[in-house]
Amino acid sequence: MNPRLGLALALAALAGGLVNLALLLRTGHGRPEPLAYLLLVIAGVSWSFVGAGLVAWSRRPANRTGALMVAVGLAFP
Amino acid sequence: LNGLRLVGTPLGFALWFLVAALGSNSGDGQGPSRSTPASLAAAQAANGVAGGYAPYGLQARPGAPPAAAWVAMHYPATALVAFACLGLILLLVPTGSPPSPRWRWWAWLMAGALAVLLLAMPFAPRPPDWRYRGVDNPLDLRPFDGALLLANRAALAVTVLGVLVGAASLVVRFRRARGTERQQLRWVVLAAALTGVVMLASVVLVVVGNEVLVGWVGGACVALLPLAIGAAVLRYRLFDLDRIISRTLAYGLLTILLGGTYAGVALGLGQLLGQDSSLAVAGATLAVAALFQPARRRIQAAVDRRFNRRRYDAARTIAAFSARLRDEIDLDTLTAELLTVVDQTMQPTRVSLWLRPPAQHSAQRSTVDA
Repeated sequence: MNPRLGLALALAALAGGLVNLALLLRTGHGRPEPLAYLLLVIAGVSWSFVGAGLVAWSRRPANRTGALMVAVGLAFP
Repeated sequence: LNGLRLVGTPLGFALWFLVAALGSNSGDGQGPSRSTPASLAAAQAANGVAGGYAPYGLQARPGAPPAAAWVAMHYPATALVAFACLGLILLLVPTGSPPSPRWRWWAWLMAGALAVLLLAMPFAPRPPDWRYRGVDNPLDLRPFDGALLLANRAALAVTVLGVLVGAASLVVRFRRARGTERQQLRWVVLAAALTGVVMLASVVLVVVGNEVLVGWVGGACVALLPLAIGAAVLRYRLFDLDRIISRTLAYGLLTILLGGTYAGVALGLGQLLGQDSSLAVAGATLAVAALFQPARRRIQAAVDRRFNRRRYDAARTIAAFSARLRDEIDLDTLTAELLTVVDQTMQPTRVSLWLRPPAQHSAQRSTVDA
């Protein structure tokens, strides 16, 4: 995998998760849960998919599972 | 402008998905990176953000942020893509290929179903999310509602079914797998088993009414799944898995036991000495500290005896050999016994023993073919 693409995807996941979290915290509708909970459920799941996927993709580029894991992580709503 | 928006994020996702999942069969070892522009990373991040942007733009600050209604219309596409990719991951893990060529058509069907869903979504009269049913879609093509609805339902069914079929393919693959692939799949089986247990526990928690705890536990388990899949793909510590499971079970049981003991002693002494007595807390702490090592040894032995039979038998064989070693003085007998013990406990394909007599400096060799 191209290292620049890997870095771009990692930064995109990080930024996406944080912005999503900030927007949900600003909205506040029906979400009285603490920040740590939102961080785990919304950002943690997404980041773990992207992180594990990027490592798998870079170490085993022929195996498409890593790329798909990155896609799941970035698409996780 | 709406035409331009149509080729926005949902179609970007469709392109990504198709390229990543199926387009790299050339075996060039590069996967989708050569044909995927880096700008798709930003498009995907925007898709991820859409889940928070729609409620923010329509509920928290209605009318203030731009295109909130359009985002509400399209952001469920991200969930569909995630769902479809999850089904494909289950189909492809750990080798990156389906269990057999006969499964390939299913992967193509899933990709096609997702493409139909993503293409149909912009023409739906209302957003799929019930919270935003007040939003009107400017691209609503009602005359095609029946056909689109049918295509949408069929594609949705295939996408949802994809995860179940992927899970079934894992079972088939696990039953057929041998050697390294089987060891790889054990990582996934471990994560799947944990998730299954948590799902059952979640049902109880939902009945009790503790939905926040369900989110905590469920989120932690879903976050573990990609780590297990990653470990399987990378072939990380495949042969240490037994030890990891054994230690996890032992320390989990130990935690429950010590926690129960602490609570029991603290409550019991608290009744005798008073609720605010620091002596009760100190006594409970001392009891737990004293109990830790013997309890850990006994629980570990019990877990090994029940779940890790090979290690338990190996430990017994070595213990018996150590006991005989004190009485046996014949070197040939000891050599034969040592080779037998190594063969029984470690099961190597071949084992050799070299002894150097101190006077002659020439090696004496014994060999056993297992």
